[in-house]
Amino acid sequence: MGDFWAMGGHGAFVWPAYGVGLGVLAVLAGVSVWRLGKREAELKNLQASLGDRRCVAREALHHREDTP
Amino acid sequence: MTRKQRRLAWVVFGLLALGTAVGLVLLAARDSVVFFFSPSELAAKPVDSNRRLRIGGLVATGSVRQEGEVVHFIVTDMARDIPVVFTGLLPDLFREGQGVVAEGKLGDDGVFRASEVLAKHDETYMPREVVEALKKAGQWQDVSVAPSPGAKSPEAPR
Amino acid sequence: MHRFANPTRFLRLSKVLLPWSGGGGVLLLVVGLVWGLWFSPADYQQGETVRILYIHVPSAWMGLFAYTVMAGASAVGLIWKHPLADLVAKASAPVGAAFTFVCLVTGALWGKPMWGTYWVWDARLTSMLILLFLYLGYMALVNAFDDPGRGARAGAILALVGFVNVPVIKFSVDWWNTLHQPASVSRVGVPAMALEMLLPLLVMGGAFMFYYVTLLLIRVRSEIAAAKVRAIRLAQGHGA
Repeated sequence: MGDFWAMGGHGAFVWPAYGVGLGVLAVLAGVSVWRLGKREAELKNLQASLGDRRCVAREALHHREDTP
Repeated sequence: MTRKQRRLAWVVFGLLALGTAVGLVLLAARDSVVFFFSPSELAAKPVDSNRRLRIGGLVATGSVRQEGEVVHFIVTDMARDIPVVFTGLLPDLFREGQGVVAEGKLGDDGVFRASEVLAKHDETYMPREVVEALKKAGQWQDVSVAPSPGAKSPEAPR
Repeated sequence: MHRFANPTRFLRLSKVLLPWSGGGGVLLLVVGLVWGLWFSPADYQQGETVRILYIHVPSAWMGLFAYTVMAGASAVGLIWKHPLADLVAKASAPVGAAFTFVCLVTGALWGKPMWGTYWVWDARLTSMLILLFLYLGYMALVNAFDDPGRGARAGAILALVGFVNVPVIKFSVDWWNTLHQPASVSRVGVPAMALEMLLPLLVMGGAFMFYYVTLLLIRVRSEIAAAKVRAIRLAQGHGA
């Protein structure tokens, strides 16, 4: 097991390479998921707060789409 | 939809023009993008001794001589050789018969005084046992490189 | 509402795909890591240090692949004004930038013990660094505009112009002499890499591809949600 961590004497290069690689990918994945959750919650809140005014909003969107 | 077609034409035209321009630049930059010169290239195009440059090739078999901190070895491309002197620590992969890139100045005496030596390895990845088995079977194409002043091979090693 | 017709279909499809791509990615990553770090053999020249290969090479592949997707989506967005294409291009950039960054860092950590240096300005290393700056420039440009449509158009032009760098990276080791060695995997004829090393490399490549697809789906969903929020806010503003 000690041999495994030593990596033939170059463990100081092999392990940081894996650490940085997997660390960067994990952080990006975490940030992406967190941002998706935040934005979807914001959208849900907004749609709920619109409530019965939703039809109005849709009307307005429709209006915007029709007049580019 | 003529507008879409026009946009497509513009994008295609733009990419073609850009590709041509970059291709021409790369063609023109062919010589200045080289990372190192092989001994043959250096012999064909002499440089003055004050210019820092890099030479690359294989470390000739049997040429490495260590005198304390100072290392002497010969860089060869099978056609021409350059003797190199270097003071300092060599990289792990520095071995006889392996690729090497040295940075420094070529003296008037034809000896290259290196201030930095980098090992260059090839694209072969093999377990040790496989290489030994191949060698035993006589299937391994090793680059056994002796200093070869008389050799005629025009091809520089890559 | 025809503008959201395609994104709606995307939302439905991505919801089905996400568990599979995410799960597949984690599975392949675990297999690839154990195989690459433990079961695969040491190299006859480089010893154990060769294991950096299993993270360095897939990141390089994916850095180039993500840029190709970004440039392709940019072209579609520019020509056909497909709303989803702009979002795909925008979502691909940070993932590709992360892969390129990982490739550069692991390459430096591999170069020091093997070549004797963290960095040299040879054609391969320099063109890969340019790729990272293209990604960063693209992300800055896209986010610099208040109007997302205009930002996407400016970014698309940069992505397409920068695409010339992709073949330069790929062939730099063949066109010029470099410290970096030529490709091992795409070489025809004599295999340059033993099968015991090639297989874990391909597994890690598969894991990174699944990771990329998963993150692309997540980020496009996120962009769609942001676009809807923006549209509603805009409508409210108009209604008030």
